[in-house]
Amino acid sequence: MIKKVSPIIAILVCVFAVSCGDSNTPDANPVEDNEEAVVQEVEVFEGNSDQPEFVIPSALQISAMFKNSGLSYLDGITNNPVKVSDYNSKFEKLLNFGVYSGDLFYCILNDQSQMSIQYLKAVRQLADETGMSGIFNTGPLFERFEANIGNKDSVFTIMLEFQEKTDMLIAENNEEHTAMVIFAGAWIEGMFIGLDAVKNSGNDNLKARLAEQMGIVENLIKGLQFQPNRNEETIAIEGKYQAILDYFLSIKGVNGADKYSYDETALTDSDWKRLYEMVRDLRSEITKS
Amino acid sequence: MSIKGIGLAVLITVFLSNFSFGQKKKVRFGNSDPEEIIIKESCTFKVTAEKIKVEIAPFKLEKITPAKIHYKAYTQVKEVAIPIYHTTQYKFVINAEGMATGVEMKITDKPHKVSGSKVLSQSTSKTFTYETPSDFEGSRIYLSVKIPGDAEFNNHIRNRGCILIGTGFEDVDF
Repeated sequence: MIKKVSPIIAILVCVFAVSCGDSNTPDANPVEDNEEAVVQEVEVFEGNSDQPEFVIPSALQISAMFKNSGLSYLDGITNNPVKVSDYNSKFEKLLNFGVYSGDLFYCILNDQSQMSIQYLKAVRQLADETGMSGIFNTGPLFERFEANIGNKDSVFTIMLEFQEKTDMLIAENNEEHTAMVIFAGAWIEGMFIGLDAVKNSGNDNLKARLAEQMGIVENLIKGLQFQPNRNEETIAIEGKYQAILDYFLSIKGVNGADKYSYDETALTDSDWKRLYEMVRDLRSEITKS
Repeated sequence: MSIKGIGLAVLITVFLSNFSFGQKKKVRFGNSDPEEIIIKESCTFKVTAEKIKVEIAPFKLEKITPAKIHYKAYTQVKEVAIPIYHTTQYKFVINAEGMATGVEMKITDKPHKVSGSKVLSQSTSKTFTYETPSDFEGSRIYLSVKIPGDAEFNNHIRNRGCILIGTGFEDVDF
């Protein structure tokens, strides 16, 4: 029996070796000082140079803006960290990496120390499961966070470090498309929390900040469309972000001074309610809640 | 394992190897052998990021974004859009020390190709800073970078580098 199976195993091993050895990773050189590498020319997609690249704002900044606009803490509105194991595909995990990052910053800014630790744990688990364990493995980031949880300045510094490590890891591994999926998750969570507050309080300042956020959805969708392994699941999600943008832009009088500025006073209560419902439904789908 | 079995394994392996290489490798200059290309990476992310952290003060650092540059044989312009929110003032530290050559950089209020685009700041230095004025009305700024053509490109060398964009903001009630 063993003798009969051997050729098949030999073939499989050889095929696997060829497949791995020839992986198309021309850009996978680490970003280090003056490094030289000899490679063979392979096809490299460098994107459309006519379109400007887009700097993704940080989830921390968006959370801080909402907080400054009067967004207060609402217990139970965030995605339960216990659900971290419910996400299966890499796309789902990355989206929820973003969702939990948004929740993490929301809790930090609202002095929810214990919840912050739970969310950082969830983020760490998803980082491990999506090939980004380097964020937490290159230093005791998590332990420092726990130790300094009562010190806002220190926590702020650690969170900047978390973000820097995430950005650097993404850059080193040429995973820029990954950053946009994470951001898409953080964006929907921030908008969900903000719109929920507007629904209940009618805070005009917060309305202005929420309308401002719509200016980056077009880039967010383009980023999602740039994913290398698009499938029915990812395309459906893209379509729902697009539907939110289309609805917003269809509101009469919403367009402002330039292409990405909007007049939030053009939105009626009914518009805010509809926008909330669309964001809530997409967020429910992403978080499976 | 029989001799036939070994032979079959070898044949299938050779066939699949050739098929796989033929799909993924791009042979240049019409030669049957792929050309060897040397990649020279000049990006100094970690060192430069530390400098940006110092320069961003007294604003609070939000993030440092690397814009990767692949030199080409010809001069090219790379443009990056940065969103601006009106709730705060921003300071940007742009650092091109991770580039193999000098570059020209300018910050505009609209994409540089759009008519009426206004230059807000420009520099040929390796590093420069820009602060949004308090009356800034736009929702984005645009950084465009003119990258010179690379004479080494046609000599099978691919120079790569990066420009780091440090973003700081103020008035955070933290």
